[in-house]
This record gives sequence, C-alpha cells and structure tokens, in this order.
Amino acid sequence: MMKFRRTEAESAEAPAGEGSEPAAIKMTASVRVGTRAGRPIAISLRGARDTSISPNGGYRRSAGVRLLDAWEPNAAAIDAAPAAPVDWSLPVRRAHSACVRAQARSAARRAAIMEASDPPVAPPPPYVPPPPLGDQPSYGGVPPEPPSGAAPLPWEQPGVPTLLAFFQTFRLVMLQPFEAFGRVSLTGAIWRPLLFGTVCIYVSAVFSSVYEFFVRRMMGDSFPGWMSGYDSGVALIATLVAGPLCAAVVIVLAAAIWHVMLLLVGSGRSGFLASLRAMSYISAPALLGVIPVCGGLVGFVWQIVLTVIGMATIHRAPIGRVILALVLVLVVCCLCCSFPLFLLLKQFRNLPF
Amino acid sequence: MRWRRASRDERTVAAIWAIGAAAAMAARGFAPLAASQLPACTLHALTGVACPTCGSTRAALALARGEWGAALAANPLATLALAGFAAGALLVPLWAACGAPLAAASPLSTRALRASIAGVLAANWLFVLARGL
Repeated sequence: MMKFRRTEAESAEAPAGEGSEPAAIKMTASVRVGTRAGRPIAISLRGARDTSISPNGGYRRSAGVRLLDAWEPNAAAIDAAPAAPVDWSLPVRRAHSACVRAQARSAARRAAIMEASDPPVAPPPPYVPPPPLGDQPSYGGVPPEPPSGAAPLPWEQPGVPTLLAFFQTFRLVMLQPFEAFGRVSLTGAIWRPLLFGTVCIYVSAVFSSVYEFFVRRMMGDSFPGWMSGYDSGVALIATLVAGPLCAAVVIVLAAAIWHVMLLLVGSGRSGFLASLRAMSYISAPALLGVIPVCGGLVGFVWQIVLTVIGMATIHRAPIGRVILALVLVLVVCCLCCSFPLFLLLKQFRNLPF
Repeated sequence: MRWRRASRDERTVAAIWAIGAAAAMAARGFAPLAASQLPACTLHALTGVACPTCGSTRAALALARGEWGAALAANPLATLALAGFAAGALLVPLWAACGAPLAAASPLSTRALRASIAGVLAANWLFVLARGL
C-alpha cells in the first residue's frame, strides 16, 4: 500500500542507478502547488512505472506510473502558515503528467543505450496492469483515474464558458470517444456529467415531443394499433415539466443496470460512480433526436457503440467483456422494449426490394 | 467486507434516487395511462416464450394498487426491485446524511455478488417461464 506521506527528506529507498532496470523506470518530479502566505508550496514526487497512489486517503490513481514517495521540502513553513484549502488532486495530476514525461524520456534513453551497446540490452519487462479493485486498499470509495495525463473534458474544466464547454465535449464524445472517455475525471463532482447527460436527453425529448405533437395534429387519428389513443399535447407538457428529473433518473437507473451487468461479467472495477459518469456522457448521441425522422435511430445505434467504448475505457475492461455485458443488458432488459425495432423490420420486410 | 463513509457524489446520487422515487410515487395514478403506451414484449410476440422481464409492467401496476400478491405473481424480481427502489429512496439518503458506513465490495463479496446476481436472474426467469405469462 503506497501512502502519500509528508517527510522532511527522501525515503530510505536507494536511488536507482543507470543501466539497471530500476534506473529505467524510476523518476522524480517536483510540482509547485501554489503559494500560501507568500511562500511557495511545492511537493516532490518520485514514481515508478505502474500504479497506485493515495494522497492522504483522499485520492487514488491507477496509471502508468506508481508513486513511490512524496514529500514537501518546506513542510514546516506550510504548517506554520495559515490554513487554506488546497486542491490536492491538481498537483497530483500535474505530478503524474510530469512522471509520465520523465518515463518517456527514460524509455528514450534506454532505447539509445540499447542501440549503442553490444550485446543489446534486454528489453524492459512488459507492462503489468494494476491488480483488481478488490486487491487494492480502499480510499473512501474514490475510483482510480484513467491512465491519461491529459486535461479533463471541457465540460469538467472550471472557467470554460458553459455553452462552449458543452459543444466541445459533445463533439469530443461523438467523434473521439476513446480520448473523451480517457479524459473523464473520476474525482470531480458527479453533478457535472449528470447535468450534461440530462441536458442531452431533455433537449432531445422536448424536440421529439414537439415533432410528434405537430405530426399528430396533421395526421389526426390515422395512427395504427398501440400508437393511437395517445394525447401528444399531454405528453408534451409532461415532457416539459418532468423531463429533467426523468432524464436524470433514467441515467442513474441505466448506469445501475449496466453496472450490475458489468459486475456479472467480472468488470466494473472503477465503481458505480464511474459507470454513472460514463452513462452520462454516453447520453450525448440522444441529442441527435433533434433531427427529425432518422436522428433518433442514428443516435440509438451510436449510443450502443459509445456505451461499449465508454464502459471499457472508464473501467479499463476488455472490450469483449463489455460486449458480453451489452448482450446481457439486451437479453434481460431490452427484449421486451424492442417492439419499435420489430415494427421497423416488419416494414422493411414489406418493402418491394 | 470493509466499511466506509459515503462520499459527496454518493450523497448526490442518493438525493436523485429519493427525488425520483418520490416523483414516481406521486405520479402512480398515471401508471395505467403510461402502461397503456408501452409496447408488448417482442420475444413473447415472436416466439411465445416469456423474456426475463415479462410481467414487470403488470407487477408495477399491481404495486401501484397495493396488491403485493399479484405483483409477486407477475414478476417477483421486478416487484422486489421496485419495492427496493421505493424503500431505498427513503433509507439511503437518511443513511448517507447520518454519515453511516457503506459496504465496500471485496473480491470475495464481488464473486459472491456475481454468483448471486446470476442465480437470482436465472431463478426469476424460470419462475416467469413456469408461470407461462
């Protein structure tokens, strides 16, 4: 168990020498946190390839770099200064990025040594993934971060204009889902991703209700079977009033069902809240429902693709397991909900081609 | 089994759960109207075989009327899930607000949980098939 400790000096661990395997994988980074009472505050971190750090039990990160030690050279000065809240997640994230860069430099140096030496230097051991969640110590239920040193999604960055952040995040999720889900912050407030998903579903539902209202006005009672006897005016009002709450509840329920299925296939290691964050951003294609006729169908198909990508990325699960979970979700929940699809197929079957 | 306190995000989810369940309870008078708009089960329509969630709508309607027996007969798992949804909406926010501990899954409990979920789903489906709903 690695603890984020505050010491006056470096840990007793011997510095790694060049040429040996530890030399290739260990690195040191110093990150300035900020200033307090006019004094600079910095933390120094030393990491090694692969996995888990836990600053004060508040954060945990599983990534390509494992933090070996962290210390503050001027800890006494910090303790003497008046207390102020410090967001430890930011320096740790920056430190992690610095460690990743140092690791890349180290790898390049090792490659150069290998080229120059005769006989060639043995290659480094393969990357060992972090142990499953249950084998790791728990730090307040906060799931591990994805192995990305990149900035969080625009929607989760403070200071970005809301509308701009929304559309940038929407574009990123729709067009670059692997990068987008790799950048989802697992330590930020949950209401932000939930708000994103709720807005997507709500806007789509309102547009769909408006379209349906006008279509039914034009077509009258010519709808067949179960589609008749439906008051689109009441539905529109209900959507406008109860839509946001329903959208949020639907996201939470969908995340719960998905998480249960992921547990069933032996995944979901990042926890339920990670599934909820993923499900919130997976709701982005619902916004395509504002396009009449085909928007909803295209959005539905892309949503399935995004669900697999998002859950696999955020839980760092094999794609095959996530697809298995998708099949289970379809079998358990959606067989009885696929009637519109059945009708669609039936319509296609009646076509002349 | 380890225990931990609920995080801020978990309290947020608990609040959404409570509000959603309260809204559902308040709107349960509209349940028959909403149920009439739902499509029939495709698997049952095509093959005559009930799917694992067949009877859930009837269970929800029976629960809305307070008929527990009819709800359990329609789909036991859906009934328990709906009852758990309503009861949890009351208990979980209170539990989290009091700072009471939550269970953190360990590898053993996760394996046991996995086996339990699979067993419960299979048993429920067998029940629904046996009932011939």
